[in-house]
Amino acid sequence: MTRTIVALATAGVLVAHDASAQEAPIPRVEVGGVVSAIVPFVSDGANVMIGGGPKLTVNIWRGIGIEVEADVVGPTESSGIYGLYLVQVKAPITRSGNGARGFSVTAGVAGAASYHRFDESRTPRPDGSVLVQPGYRRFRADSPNTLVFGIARDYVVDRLVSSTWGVQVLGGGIGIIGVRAYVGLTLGAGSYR
Amino acid sequence: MNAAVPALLAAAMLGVLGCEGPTRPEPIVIPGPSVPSPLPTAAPYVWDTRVELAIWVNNVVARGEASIEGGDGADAYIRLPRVDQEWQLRGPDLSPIATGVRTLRIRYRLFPEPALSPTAVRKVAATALFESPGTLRPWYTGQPAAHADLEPSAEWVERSFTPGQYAPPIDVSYCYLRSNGGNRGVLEIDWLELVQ
Repeated sequence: MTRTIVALATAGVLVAHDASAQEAPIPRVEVGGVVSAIVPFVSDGANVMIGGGPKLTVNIWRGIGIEVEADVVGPTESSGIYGLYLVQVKAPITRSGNGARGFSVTAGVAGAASYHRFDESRTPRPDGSVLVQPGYRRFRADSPNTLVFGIARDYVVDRLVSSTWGVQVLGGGIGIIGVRAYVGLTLGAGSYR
Repeated sequence: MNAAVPALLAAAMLGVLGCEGPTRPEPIVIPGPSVPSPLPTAAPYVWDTRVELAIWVNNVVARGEASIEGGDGADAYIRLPRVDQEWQLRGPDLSPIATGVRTLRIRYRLFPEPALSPTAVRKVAATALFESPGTLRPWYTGQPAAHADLEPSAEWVERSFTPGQYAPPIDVSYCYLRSNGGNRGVLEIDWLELVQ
């Protein structure tokens, strides 16, 4: 997995280097949000889950960035809030006509997360005593055991706003192979133009 | 190229990620009615005489129709004439707590109703429950339970209850014996004993 990420990152670096002559400014930090649709292919078919959540991008060098996303997804068959977190490297492979942004390849890892809230429960016992289970909240984040590869496209909308869409393939630890598509907007801490 | 190093480090760090928030808190118990013992409670934990058996029958926790029959000594026994209904016998609070308890054993006889059809179930399914400090489990009622199917018998027979979800030995502050009822019949219990 690490080797793959290194290879993709290296490829991105080289492409980015070639394109550097016509580079437009890229903010060091971008904050935004995405809306996503996830289609996990499981044994009994494919069900579409809708998700959404925040996204943070730190652009490190010549358009290569690290993206962190957290999607809340649903619907699910049980109570609680389920999510998917994702950390990936994004490396540009093309630039748009004005040199701003273009297509990128992404590679990273993802994991599942969940949040449950349990109310206090009281169970009367035959001897007249009562068993009290105090309420509690539980957050769980699985290890990032799912590989994510994809392609993304960014458009500069405004001096401070950029839009993005992408398609990814997920596979591995969460027991499924799936496809995730997303669209979103980001605000740059700095100028896109 | 050096700038890519933090990215790879971040990805590597994720390999050890994976966490879980606060775990389920320990359950607590609001005690039920107490059943004080008029007699000292010490090993061996055997209830055989009329006075001793009466502790199990005459308290606010006991349910169902039950009486003490026989003499005042060891020939006394508990009579449950309606085992088709729910019944419950509550033992005394043990002070100090009985340690090293494995299960409950009783000596009983069971007379099914003669008018029952030949195919009717004649046994009585009974459960012994133990209040056992420190053995709470986050499922069901949290009380260790042992079970026995009491087969019909016109003669006195001894029967030990089979431990359920608990691993004996356990400490016990009191024990109670109950059944949700079954078919009609009369159950008589000569003595009860906590097996250590």
